[in-house]
Amino acid sequence: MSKRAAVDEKELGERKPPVEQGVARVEARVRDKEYAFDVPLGGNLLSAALRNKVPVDHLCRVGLCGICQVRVAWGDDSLSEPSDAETLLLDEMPLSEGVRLACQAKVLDDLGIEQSDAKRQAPR
Amino acid sequence: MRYFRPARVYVKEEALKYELTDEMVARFNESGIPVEMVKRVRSTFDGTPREQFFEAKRTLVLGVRKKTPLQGCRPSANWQLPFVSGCPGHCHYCYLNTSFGPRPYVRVYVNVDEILAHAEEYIEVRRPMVTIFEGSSTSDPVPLEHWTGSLSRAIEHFAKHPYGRFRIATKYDNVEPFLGLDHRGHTRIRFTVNSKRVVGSWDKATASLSRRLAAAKKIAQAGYPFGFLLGPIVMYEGWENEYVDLVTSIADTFTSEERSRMSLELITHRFTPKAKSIIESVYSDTDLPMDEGERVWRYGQFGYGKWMYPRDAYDAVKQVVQGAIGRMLPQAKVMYLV
Repeated sequence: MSKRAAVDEKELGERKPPVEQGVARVEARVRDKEYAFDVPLGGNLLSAALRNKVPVDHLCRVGLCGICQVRVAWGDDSLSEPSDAETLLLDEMPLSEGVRLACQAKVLDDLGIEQSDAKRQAPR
Repeated sequence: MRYFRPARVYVKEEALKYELTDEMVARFNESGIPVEMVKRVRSTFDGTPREQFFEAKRTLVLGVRKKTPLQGCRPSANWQLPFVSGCPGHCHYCYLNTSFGPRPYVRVYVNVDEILAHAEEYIEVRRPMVTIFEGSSTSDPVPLEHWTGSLSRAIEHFAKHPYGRFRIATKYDNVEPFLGLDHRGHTRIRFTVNSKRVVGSWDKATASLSRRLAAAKKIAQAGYPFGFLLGPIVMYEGWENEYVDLVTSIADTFTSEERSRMSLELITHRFTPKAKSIIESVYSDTDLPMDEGERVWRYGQFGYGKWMYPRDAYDAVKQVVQGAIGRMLPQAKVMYLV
């Protein structure tokens, strides 16, 4: 059973919203190192990563600079719907290929993300 | 409309095979601007270093951008993508003053398609991530757009590109060429603005603040993502009220919907020893505050040191300027304060 389904079941019998009732596991590959951390359901992906000392590259945290782009490696439906800022900056194709702004995305279920090493972002 | 009219144009030999060179030379001929073909651009100016500096800035060189690795461009973008280098403006504090030595010609690169193809290689490496290019890191290219058309070509190029985005910044109001373009929101156009004192005293040969705001309004109405760079923020006597006035002017110019598409970048003044030396040489009458005793020494991202405001001054900027933004432009997004 996915964590989201588990949360839905709990929601039936309890008053608190699901966002406060569970955690999702995030596996991250950032600058060629691997990390794993838990995020309260509905929590912000970038904030959770930084809180867990995962060095996700970032700057503005308001969805404009694009520095915090990550690619969803697995768990395609595990993040909230793209925000207006993500739709404006990333547009249809990158979003459909799993690119998200970590500062905008809320974690709804387990997933894996990747952010490549900046040194590898130039052609050789 | 404030745009650049060069005193003379030099065309380098390697630029002759490009179509844009022919187009630009035809425009210069129509405007009566002297054009000379040269193998190498050399100093032809007499006078003091200051006089040579001013003449060089009135000189336009058409050349070819060599295919060298692109430079990084934090915090505003991933990579610099220059179509122009050098600037016809005379902003006393400008970091470009340190980049071009004693011959700060304005250089236009006519191999626009090759530059865009080079950018494509960088996009391909990061794909499917979006790659963001900054077109204004080595110049203010906007006052040359009516001669070059290169920004318009870049805007249309990136409009069709799923993985490439473009950003430019300007202190000019020559935005008409951009208004009818199919930009698809892939280019963000920012206007550098400043307080009444800074624009009046140290932003020379640029558009007035009211013209920049009017140009920004046109860009907003054309549906572009847009914004303002407030910088360099200079802390002179009475700076607080004048920066609040600036934020008020911005807020009064835009509708609530337009403000929600507005980005703000806040940059405090800093200077290198080399820049101070050049500034005091070519703008010898400047009263731009550059007292090292009021600053702290820090190393920047490119490894050289600079004199910056100390932490408490930075906190004051945050309180005054960001505070005013919070009150008057709550819909706008502050990207950073450096």
